[in-house]
Amino acid sequence: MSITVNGDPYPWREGLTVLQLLEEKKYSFPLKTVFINGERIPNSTHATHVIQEGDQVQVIHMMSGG
Amino acid sequence: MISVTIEGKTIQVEPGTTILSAARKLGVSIPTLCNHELVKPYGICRVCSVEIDDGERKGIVNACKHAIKKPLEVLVSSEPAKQARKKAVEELLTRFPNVKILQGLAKMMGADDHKEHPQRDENPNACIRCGRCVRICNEGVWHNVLIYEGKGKDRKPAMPTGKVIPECTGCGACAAVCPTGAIVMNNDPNNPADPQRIRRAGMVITREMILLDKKQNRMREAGTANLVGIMNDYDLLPVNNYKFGSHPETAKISAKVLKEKYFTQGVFDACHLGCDMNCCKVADNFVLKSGPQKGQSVLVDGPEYETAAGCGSNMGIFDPHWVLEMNYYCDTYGIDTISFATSMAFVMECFEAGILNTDRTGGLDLKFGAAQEALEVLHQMARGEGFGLIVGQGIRKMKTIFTERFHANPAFLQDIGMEAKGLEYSEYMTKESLAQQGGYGIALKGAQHDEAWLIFMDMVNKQLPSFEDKAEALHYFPMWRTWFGLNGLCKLPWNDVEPEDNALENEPHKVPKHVKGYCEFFAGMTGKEVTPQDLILMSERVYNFQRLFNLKMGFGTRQHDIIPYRSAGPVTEEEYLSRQERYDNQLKEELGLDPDQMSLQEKVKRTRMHRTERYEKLLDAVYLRRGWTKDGIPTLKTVRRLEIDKVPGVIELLESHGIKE
Repeated sequence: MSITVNGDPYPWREGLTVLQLLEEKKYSFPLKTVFINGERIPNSTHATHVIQEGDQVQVIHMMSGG
Repeated sequence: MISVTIEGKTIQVEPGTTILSAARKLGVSIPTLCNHELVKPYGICRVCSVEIDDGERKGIVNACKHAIKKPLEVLVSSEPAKQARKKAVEELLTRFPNVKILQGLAKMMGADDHKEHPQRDENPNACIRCGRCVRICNEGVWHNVLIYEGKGKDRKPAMPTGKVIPECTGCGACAAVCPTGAIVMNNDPNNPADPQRIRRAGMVITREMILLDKKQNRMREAGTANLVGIMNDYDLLPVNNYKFGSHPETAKISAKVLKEKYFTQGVFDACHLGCDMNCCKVADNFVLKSGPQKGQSVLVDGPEYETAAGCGSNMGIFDPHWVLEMNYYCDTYGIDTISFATSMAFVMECFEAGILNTDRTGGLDLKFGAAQEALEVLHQMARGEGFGLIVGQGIRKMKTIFTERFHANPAFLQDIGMEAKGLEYSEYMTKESLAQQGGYGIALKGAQHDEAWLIFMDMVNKQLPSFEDKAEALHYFPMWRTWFGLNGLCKLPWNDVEPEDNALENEPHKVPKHVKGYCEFFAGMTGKEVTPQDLILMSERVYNFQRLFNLKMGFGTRQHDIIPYRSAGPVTEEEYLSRQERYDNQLKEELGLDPDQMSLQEKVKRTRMHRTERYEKLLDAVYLRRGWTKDGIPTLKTVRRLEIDKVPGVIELLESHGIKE
């Protein structure tokens, strides 16, 4: 029972939300965009969007500077 | 949430939402004049008047300013609302009859010019006292140059002396939001070809800073120091001379602490006149505890990320006071905080490894975390005496000195001495991003990340899986970022604030809309139309010429792009064990080995072989992409394509390195 996050397997559980996943992965950089199976998940729904088993999650961090 | 009904349509809104904002969400149109998306509501013009009924109170309010606090019914098209708006426009039109925006509103509302007004102004570009300019100057771009002068109907925007004051940077934000053309920017000392085109491009960034920065990188709140906690979360913050990427005490030197305890907020900074990012932070009234100014209250310019990470975690220091004190004295002595911090981190590791001791440091106990002792080295460095005289020469020289005088193992010093081409590393832990190892190693000036910062793209997003992908990024980004240097521009507005829809672009990491904005800037400045590809070509010429210059000076071949192994992987068994799962997995997945059957020593050795080989393959791929030889020298074909073969001495230089047709 898993999903992929940026291509790597990640354990899935029923009810796992995008926000919970971001917190568990410690993805704290604010300028990032989440796509699930290629579809953009707006920031405003991260707390409520439930990830389904087998979903391919991409968390694209928008920083190429510094 | 509060229920509000506007023109019969109902919506739930957060308490404090304005009627105008709720109406826009519902698609109900309300005319406005003094309102603007970049400034807070002012409510002076009354053109957005609407009628409300909250059960207790019924009456006319300004939709732009009225915050919804309880359930409400709003009427936009009621007769009282229409009359209130018509009256507001008639008053303005009678005073300023030839202003186009007022004529338009009057036509829409059936308002009349009553011809008689004691302050009648026939100027079609008259200032209608909407206050947008004063508000954007103060709350939007923080320049605080425009003020209100006079009272009542005489109240108007002005500069304090009645003339343009030197503090005005000419950013043009006031003119950009002026609805009548009353403010015109007319002093452009650099004589750009099309100043308005430059200002339009600049306003795109200004708009994003005002509206989006607070949701994105919060550069205005804490500047680059916001990265301290973030880098810690991603295991990228250098700790104890880049041994580790995070530390439990990082919160003590985070942006939150710096912001709450030290930074002076809300002040526009003088880093670059007219810049609306305002990411440079200062700490006022900071009392020094060491050195020649001990006890004095001073202003510290910073710390920004590099200084907080370098003078903090990389030296094992988590007391922000000492970070700020090192920041101050480095600035005062004219010493780079990064080179000082990385050099000291190297010294501390040498001390803990027994290469240095108190006899060799002049009595200083330079273990990780020894903040006051590190400051003493800094003061010695400035005075040119004691152990500071050795540290001040930088890591490359220290490696030789420690080997010759203290019989240190030169291979170990090479592994942990974080420098390339003689320049100390800036403050990122690169072990898990091969592309970033290249970003540091191949950089022309030495180990600096400002040519390419690819860690998120490579390590986190996994967008650069192949050597070719990494090489493409190590071609494009260094060329693109060189362009900022060519034009005297800061890189941060390019990608530390981004358009709202940037993530949906095909190549979001290039921030394509901003790149087009820089094309506009360049064309506005020079009068020459350019494409994004043209900008890269400009840089490619200079970049390759710089590589040839390095070659001439003895730094331009493959051997000079080699990095200390600490940058690529675990030098010590302690480091391996600290991230054992990660390294064991790599041995399993990438090399098909069984780590359970290997000794720790074998695992460290095999990991090192693998990671060193990968780095060499990366160099091959990057050199190929850039049109360089296997030894990292631009080929004749490349210098001819870039037309730098015409520079005297270039062909001879290449020939002297065996580069021929």
